Amino acid sequence: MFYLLGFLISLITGFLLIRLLCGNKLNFIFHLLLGLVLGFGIDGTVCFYTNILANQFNRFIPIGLVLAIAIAAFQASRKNLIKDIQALLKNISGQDRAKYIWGFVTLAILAIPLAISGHYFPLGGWDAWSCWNLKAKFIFLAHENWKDMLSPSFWRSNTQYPLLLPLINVWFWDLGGVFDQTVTMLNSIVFTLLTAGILLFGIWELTGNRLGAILSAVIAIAIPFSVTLYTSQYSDVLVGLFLLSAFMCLLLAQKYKLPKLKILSMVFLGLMGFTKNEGLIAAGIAALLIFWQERKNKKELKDLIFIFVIASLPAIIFTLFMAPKNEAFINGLTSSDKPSTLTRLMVICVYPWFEFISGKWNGFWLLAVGGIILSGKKLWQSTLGTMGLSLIFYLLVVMAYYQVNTFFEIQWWLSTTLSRILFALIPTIVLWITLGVMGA
Amino acid sequence: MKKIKIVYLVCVFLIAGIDLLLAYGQALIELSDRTTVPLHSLGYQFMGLEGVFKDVHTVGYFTDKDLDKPLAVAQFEQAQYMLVPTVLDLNNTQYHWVIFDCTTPQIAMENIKRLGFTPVKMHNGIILAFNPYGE
Repeated sequence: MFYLLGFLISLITGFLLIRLLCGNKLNFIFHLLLGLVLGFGIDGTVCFYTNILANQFNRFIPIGLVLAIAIAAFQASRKNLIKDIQALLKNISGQDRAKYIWGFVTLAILAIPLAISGHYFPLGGWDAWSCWNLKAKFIFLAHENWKDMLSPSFWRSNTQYPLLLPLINVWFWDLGGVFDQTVTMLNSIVFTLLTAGILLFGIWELTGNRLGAILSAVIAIAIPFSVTLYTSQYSDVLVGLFLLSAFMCLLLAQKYKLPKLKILSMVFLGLMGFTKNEGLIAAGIAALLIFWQERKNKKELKDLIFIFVIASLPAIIFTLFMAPKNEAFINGLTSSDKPSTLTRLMVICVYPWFEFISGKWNGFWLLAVGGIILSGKKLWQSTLGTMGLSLIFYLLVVMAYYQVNTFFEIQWWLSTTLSRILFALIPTIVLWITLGVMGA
Repeated sequence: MKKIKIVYLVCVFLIAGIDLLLAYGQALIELSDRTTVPLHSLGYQFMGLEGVFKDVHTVGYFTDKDLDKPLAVAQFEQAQYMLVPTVLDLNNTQYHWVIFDCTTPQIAMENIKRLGFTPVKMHNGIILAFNPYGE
């Protein structure tokens, strides 16, 4: 019950804040979906400023702050709110109604295997109990002793990783007043359905192609290996969700000539930086490329940079001032014991190709290559070009890190981590290629 | 070009259909089988100990298992997850409470006797012992 309440508070907060930015110009369902993504981000961010930065563990403070944001947003946007919502609901008729029915039936079909898989792994996958949920439990139960989880003896738990996913879960536990494993399970399913919904309704909005939108959502979510990862309660799901949301906002900003949506895009990138170190790298690369794309519009560019920095503050503060040294790092460029060798580089260059043709992806990467060839130049122009370059630069940085950090034996490390890095990119890759093939 | 595009879309359609079928197949297997994921359920063996460790900051965790083996590491890490906020100190026995997770309960008992500890609780081969000289 308290989960539902938390869900509603997050949804309303995010919805009202987006309304402040865009009024009622967005498609209603899309507005709700983005609102929920933003709401989750706000929950985690508020928890960071209260629990982590202020070391304050009164559970009513993060709840009260999110409610205060919702009330402030309501006050600021209440003019015509009821009238606008009525108008939006009235618009859900005819073709729009069919769109919503098709969309929700697809999401319901996708939700069933996700729910079963989530229930099958109640504690999540390895990194859930070893890293993400462990941190959430420490923050929620150990209170001011939460820093125990950053001690070197927890090196297996990636102590240097940022905390957005644990803090979102903590916010829900704060609301209920108890630790509840169901929250982490439900959140992972909701994040996945949000990814599917944003992809489906977004592609529908951008291309007007119903079948293309439905197939894109199914392809991105239903690969059985992905279903397992989506319900593993890992932060990779959030990386995928925020990256997709950021680019979707950017594309919709262009389509509807709504420059304020770009601000939302920057907020999502900033939040993504607090999900994982990989998310921080991807956010930095994507933001820089978007700034480059917007370089001619100086005024807008300043706003985008400012918003990105503000949204990234938790990631910046945690990474610079709180995160312990990565105990699983050896600089192979300077180490004589474990140097970066040419053999290592060759493994890094060859391994991904075996990953791409691995049966666990059910031919997804072959489809992706086919789509890239079929789309031709379209994928490298305007915002699609920015997306493509972001993905390429991000993967290059990841590969370089595999080469430089020689702490782990490379084949084992690639076999346990590369699939998750690729998995987080799938929703954005599906969006990118679908728009290339179908045309926005 | 249009024909190629149609062929591509047919491939997308087929793969999406196969994905969905396989996802439902996997779900059906998961529904009918609740026993084949020991790796992800190891932590349940430690449930109940959190009551003993109320207000205890750190306890020892003694194991003779090879921690290069995933199952042994998983067992330790899930024990830690279950017992948060208490910190488990791996292979350190100087605390009042020490969890013995050995390859056999006999080996665990031998170690408990050797160290002069008192076994207090046993569950699924995991033994909680009290160290009277502990910190």
